[in-house]
Amino acid sequence: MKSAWSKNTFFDNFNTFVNHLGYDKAPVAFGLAMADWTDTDERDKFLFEITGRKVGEPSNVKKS
Amino acid sequence: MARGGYRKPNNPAPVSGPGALSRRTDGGAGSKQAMKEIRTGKYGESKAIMEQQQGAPMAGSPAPSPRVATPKITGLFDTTQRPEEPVTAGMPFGPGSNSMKPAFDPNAELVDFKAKYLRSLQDVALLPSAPQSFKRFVSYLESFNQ
Repeated sequence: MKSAWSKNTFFDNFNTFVNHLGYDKAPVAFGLAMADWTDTDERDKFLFEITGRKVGEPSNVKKS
Repeated sequence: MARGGYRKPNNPAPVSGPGALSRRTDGGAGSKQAMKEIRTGKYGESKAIMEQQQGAPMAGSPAPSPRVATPKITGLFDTTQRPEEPVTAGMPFGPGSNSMKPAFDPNAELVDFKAKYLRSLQDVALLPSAPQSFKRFVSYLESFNQ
């Protein structure tokens, strides 16, 4: 395991997905995090496409 | 090839006799198949084939299996076949057995996820550089109970 958190790694992607989609969607976030994202921009663009919200934008839906 | 004279009929008889002398000519149901005389151009070959057929008779066609009666299907507007059972039996409300599990449990996947990955996620959450958002999620997962 790496000793420091870094961008565009599995855990970074998982964290982004689970916080954007909701905690109850953790299994889906896990699967998406396993995809080979070119960079965080590509990943964030994908999230915007499927949710209509930019990453970091608060959602109206409760997280859990 | 021999011609003329008495020819012994094949078994079974190729032609049935009249009345009381009648015999089956089809070899009988479920028994061995009737021997067939195959004429070839070569001398003695027909006899050899007949002898082969006598030595190893072929099995008869299988007997037809009896039909199994299918239970009568209850029509939509027929009277109930279970008069003792309430119509709400199996439903999660009303009288009768209601122990039926819901078809889809929305939390089941997350319970499964927690069982599989919580330990690994906890390890990562302990990293000093792990973001607070990740730590919050791991805390949520730790306290998550169906």
